[in-house]
Amino acid sequence: MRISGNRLLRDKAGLAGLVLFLIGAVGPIVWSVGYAGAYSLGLAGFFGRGFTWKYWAGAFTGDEILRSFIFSGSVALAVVCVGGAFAVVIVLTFHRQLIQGVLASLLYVPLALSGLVAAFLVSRWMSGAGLFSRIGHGLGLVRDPQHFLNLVNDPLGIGIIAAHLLLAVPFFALTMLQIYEVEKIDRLRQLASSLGASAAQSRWRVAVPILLRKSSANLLLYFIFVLGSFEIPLVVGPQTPLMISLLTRRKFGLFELAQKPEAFVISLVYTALLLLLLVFIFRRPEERAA
Amino acid sequence: MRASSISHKCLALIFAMLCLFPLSFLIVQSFARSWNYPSIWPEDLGAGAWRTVFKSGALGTSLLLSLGTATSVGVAATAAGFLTSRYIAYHPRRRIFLFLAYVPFVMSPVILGTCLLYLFIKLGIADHFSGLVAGQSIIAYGFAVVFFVRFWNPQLRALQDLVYTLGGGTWTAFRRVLIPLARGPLLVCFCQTFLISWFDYGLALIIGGGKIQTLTVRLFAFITEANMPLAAVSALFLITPPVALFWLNRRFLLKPV
Repeated sequence: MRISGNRLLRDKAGLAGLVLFLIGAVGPIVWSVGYAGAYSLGLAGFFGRGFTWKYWAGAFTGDEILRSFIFSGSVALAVVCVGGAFAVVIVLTFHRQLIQGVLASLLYVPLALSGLVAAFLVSRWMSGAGLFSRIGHGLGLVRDPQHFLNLVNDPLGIGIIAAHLLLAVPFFALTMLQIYEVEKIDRLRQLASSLGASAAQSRWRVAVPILLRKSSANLLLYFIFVLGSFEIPLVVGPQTPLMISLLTRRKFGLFELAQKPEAFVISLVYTALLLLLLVFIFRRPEERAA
Repeated sequence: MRASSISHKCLALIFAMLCLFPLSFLIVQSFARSWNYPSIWPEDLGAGAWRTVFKSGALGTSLLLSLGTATSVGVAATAAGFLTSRYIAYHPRRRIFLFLAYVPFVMSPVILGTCLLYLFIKLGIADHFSGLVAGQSIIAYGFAVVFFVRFWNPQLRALQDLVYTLGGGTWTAFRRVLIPLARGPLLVCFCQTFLISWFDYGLALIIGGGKIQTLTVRLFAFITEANMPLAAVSALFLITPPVALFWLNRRFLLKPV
């Protein structure tokens, strides 16, 4: 199986694939980390006047960056937990209709929403003058937009979580539906029932653990995706704390040039966190077998 | 038993309505000429926003630009990913390669764009169509590699070896055996990478610098202008191709990988 240098030179398609990989995947990441590192240490860019730690020290003087990471992590965790729970319920309740029937096609409609469209919809539904507030007014629960719950641009990130859930739930449901079919969970549940398990026991002790364990890599990858999301918090997120990508963009695009190196400090910390999470995903036994 | 079946059907109906609700809301919003608080339904309906879009042709340009960008990214990433994944799949250190392929794919486009912007300026492709295609292709290529790695199995390897034994070369193996066998996965990968570009806003903002007015950039502009009917029309333009692609690919997507 080992590919020797001579064999690689003979396999021109393989060589082309390797070159493309170095240019298209490894190169940009190496450049990004190298440039961000050099900029944040005063070795490149507008502030490239010699090695210094002051931008790193400055970035962690206040709690803005730490709060941004904690906020982004909490939002991502909420999306993965709530989205995963919804998806499990949907798959266990409607798995037959989702395989064949109208529901099988309808689930693709919310899957076609982009982040920006989801954020737009949430802002139109959950803002003070949004659809939910109007329904509340019709039911006599809300007097005017000011008296409606603060659900968009709120400090808890409820608007961000809601917009992400619009995208995450159909995606998780389809992933788990595929697992349900591949792992033949229906048959396993029948077997559990014939061995004396109740419907609830076969659901909670057989189906749910398999669905969660087999989809855990996808859930973790989705956590990383939400962690770095940009357009949803831009439309329905709070002014403070900011999600990581938004904070990076703000520091990089500010008129105050002195903030630019901090944007690269955040980029590097984010990349380190991302690599750690990927290492964690790749160390899992199921991924190791892949 | 009958009662539980009826309640199950009711739940399925509610679920179906929830799936259709975002699309229905966007259609109503796009026709709403006047929709003031606390009305639940628009007070005045009309096709003004649609007429504006078709008369001015502004969204048409963005639509063509987004289609061009997404098609270029889809073709480039799928072809390159197909080629690279073959090398990686049979490599003894495939896990390290796979790990490296995941990084650009899962990285925040905004952070990647911020770090690459200087390089793109030096290459003269920032604020340019080619720069946007290159930036989005980095992310889409990572996805394509990850997507195709599972496609290459020992049977395909044996088929390739058979072609070589019978006197065929690499090109023959690709043209006569591998590409015909991979037609389904190639189509699915093209659709997915097309959508990575189609949905992108962060890279279009940073690499495009506001000059490349893709559909997502337009949509954001309409949202910030609080022009809700036009924002809804752009949103509908944005979700129509994905709905069509998902429906086309359903049988491939539901196949176990």
